[in-house]
Amino acid sequence: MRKLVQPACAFAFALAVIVALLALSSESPQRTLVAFFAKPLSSWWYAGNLLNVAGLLILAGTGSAFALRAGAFNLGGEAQLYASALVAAVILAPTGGPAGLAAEGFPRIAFALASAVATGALVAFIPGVLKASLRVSELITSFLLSAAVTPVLDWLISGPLRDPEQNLLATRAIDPAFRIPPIAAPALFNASFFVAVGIAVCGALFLGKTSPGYRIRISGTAPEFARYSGFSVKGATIAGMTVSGALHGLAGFFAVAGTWYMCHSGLTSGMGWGALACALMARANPLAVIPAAILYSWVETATDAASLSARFSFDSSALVQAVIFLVISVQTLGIPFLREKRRRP
Amino acid sequence: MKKAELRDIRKVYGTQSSPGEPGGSCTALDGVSLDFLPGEMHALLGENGAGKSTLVHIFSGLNRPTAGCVIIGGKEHFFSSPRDALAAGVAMVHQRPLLAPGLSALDNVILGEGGFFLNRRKARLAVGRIARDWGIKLDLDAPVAALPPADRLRTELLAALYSKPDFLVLDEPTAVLAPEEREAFLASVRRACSGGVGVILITHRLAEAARWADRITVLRHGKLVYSSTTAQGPVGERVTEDFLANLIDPDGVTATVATATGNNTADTGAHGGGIRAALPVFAVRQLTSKPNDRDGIESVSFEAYPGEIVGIFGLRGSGLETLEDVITGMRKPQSGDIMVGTEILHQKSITPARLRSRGVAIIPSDRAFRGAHPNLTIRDALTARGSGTGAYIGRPPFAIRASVRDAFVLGAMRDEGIDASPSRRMGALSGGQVQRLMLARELAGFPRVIVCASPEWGLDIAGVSRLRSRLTAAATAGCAVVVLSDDMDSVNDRSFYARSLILSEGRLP
Repeated sequence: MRKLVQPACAFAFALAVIVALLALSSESPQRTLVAFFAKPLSSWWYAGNLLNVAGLLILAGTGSAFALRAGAFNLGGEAQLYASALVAAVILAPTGGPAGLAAEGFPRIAFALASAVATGALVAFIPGVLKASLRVSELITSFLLSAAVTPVLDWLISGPLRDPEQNLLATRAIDPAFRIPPIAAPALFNASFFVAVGIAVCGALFLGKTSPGYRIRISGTAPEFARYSGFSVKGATIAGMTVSGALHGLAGFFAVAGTWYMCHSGLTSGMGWGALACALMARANPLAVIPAAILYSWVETATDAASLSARFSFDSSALVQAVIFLVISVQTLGIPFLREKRRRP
Repeated sequence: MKKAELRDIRKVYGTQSSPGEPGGSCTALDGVSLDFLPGEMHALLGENGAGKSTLVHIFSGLNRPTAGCVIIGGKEHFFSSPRDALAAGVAMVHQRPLLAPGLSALDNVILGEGGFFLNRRKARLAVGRIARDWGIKLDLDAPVAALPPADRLRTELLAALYSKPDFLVLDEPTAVLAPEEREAFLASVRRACSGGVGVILITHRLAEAARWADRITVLRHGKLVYSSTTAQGPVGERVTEDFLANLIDPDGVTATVATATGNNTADTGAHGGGIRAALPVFAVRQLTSKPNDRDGIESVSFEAYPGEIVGIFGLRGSGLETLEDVITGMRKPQSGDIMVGTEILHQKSITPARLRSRGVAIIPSDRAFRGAHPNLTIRDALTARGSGTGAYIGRPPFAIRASVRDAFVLGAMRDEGIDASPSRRMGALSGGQVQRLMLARELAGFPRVIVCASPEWGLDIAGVSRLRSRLTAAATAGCAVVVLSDDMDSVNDRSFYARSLILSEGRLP
């Protein structure tokens, strides 16, 4: 129970700040707060979409947790998601795609999925290798690589890969045959949520109950001890980052195949950072990522609903992330006012 | 001059229950009341796990008591961090120094200095002056990560002294000092006491305590059993080593051990001292390593045969730390190779993983972060060996066989007399308990070779006896044991070592 106190405090504090900001910036605070708390669960459309986004966050958040457990910070989640989504959208496009990819049905979906996962893994593998071989901080390389890749992806979407028949800055919509159908329309909630939950559970079992998972954990917590014990700390770092990228890639695939059915410019809109916030709230425990992602998604949906009610534009995801990051950082750094106060015996 | 009073200090560690593992509590300190006076050297004695470290951790703000309080200069304190304790004039030098590895020794010393401007030149001069007064030899510009354990301790000692404390707590400082440095060090502690500093010294060296301390306190099983001035022993005479040994261990184990660990020059059953096996199981050939940040070794060669215990002794600056790092695979040598059995590991292929997979068990001198880690649970720290050898791997592939692992973990803890939950952090155990668990873990793999570096550091006499009997049993079972030590008093201890080699200026004879 004690382990839950800090992340729960972080979340509660973030919630309080968001509610206060919404209420203060609204002409009708009462109506805004009712919208904040009641809207997300007022209809299946809201609730289903909330769970759908939570599914994507669970996948990417489990990825972030893997990197954290291996002693690395994957700050490149945005580009890993984005690049994978673009690859999936291109492969699943109805008429196009590179030559030789005309195969239909299951093989093509499998190819798109494998390519998206490999793309995410590759983008995260590079900072992992740089950290392991040259001791370059993955905090810098993963972030810079992401910052460099994103404009290239934007250019591809707005240029060579843009759908000429639409006014959107987006690729062609994927073939309807490859779309993952919603379980109960109109919400986009689909099977990807259950896949995400399954992967988070498998991730927790892998880290807690298997020998390679144990080695990754130990290498992340105690690298000197791990090396002395005969474990490959470099291997664990690379593996942690690569698995992290692969799971972000999987989230990118599902974002295209189950939610947007295309890759538009700025598709991730902070989802990579959101996933990292979920992993931090979950203290890098994949099982705890599931409720963290659902709560995060709920706050995002609630903030959107309240913003609409208050009739002003509100970048909810950025606000939610900012507050959660701030509170978690403050707790990690041990700023006195949030530390547990000593009780006199 | 301020006086420090510890009033009715209790510390109970509780553990949460988990499936198959009931929760429980362990009393580390049971109502200890004690005074520390300014200008006095106060020795704190007791067996490993007696509660000495817990008591001084509470006094220095690292731990919080379950009950009781600290009074300094008549003011009641409830320290929630070492910074609070430092502000009240209490500084501590830990058995496991808490330093920032990426910073230089100087930066670690001046870390946390108040004020807006930092005058490094002035700080360096001040630190240099303290180092001279105390006879501390240290390269202030070396990064702490590259320093051997003894120099890390010196860094933390300098940091503690730099804060000009009223009370200085030293947790087994002489354990990592070379013998010739100990006397000079204790003499400088004495001088500091005469300047008004109250020194609390934890040590397992009873002779040291009897000779240097003004007051001696003995803890046993978390309770205070004796506290008096050294000059006034039980019959009004100065306390003796035997008297203290009896207080610490009334069951008499100490007395027999004191004899066993003495300098017995007669060859009375040294392990491997008789008939030697035809071929060595561990051979080091022409190893050369000359790191920039510490003393190197040159063309070092030696062999260890099955069933023998070989001691390699060296003073500070002899290259002993480098030799440890190289023969345990933690540092690549410039040339040379190591033969384990019939397999030869060349220069770059000497890694901990390869040595371990060939049956080499390693007990490093850095128990805190290399042999274990304070943030790991006991379960995780003990699983490492089995995970490495595949002992716990079952079906489905890669799955850890929790029942086998847990049986080993609980068995090892029971055998070593450690009454705690396997979920307890290693950081909550005493140095001696960590050492015992490390040895149990390494021996569980039935190694062909055991390499131990300074294995007796921080152990009480009973702990040394237990360690020696374990290593002796392993040697008797056919294992080759290589002990690296800076305890030059034991060079001729033929009751334990079959052969002793002396490392001097990076070379063996």
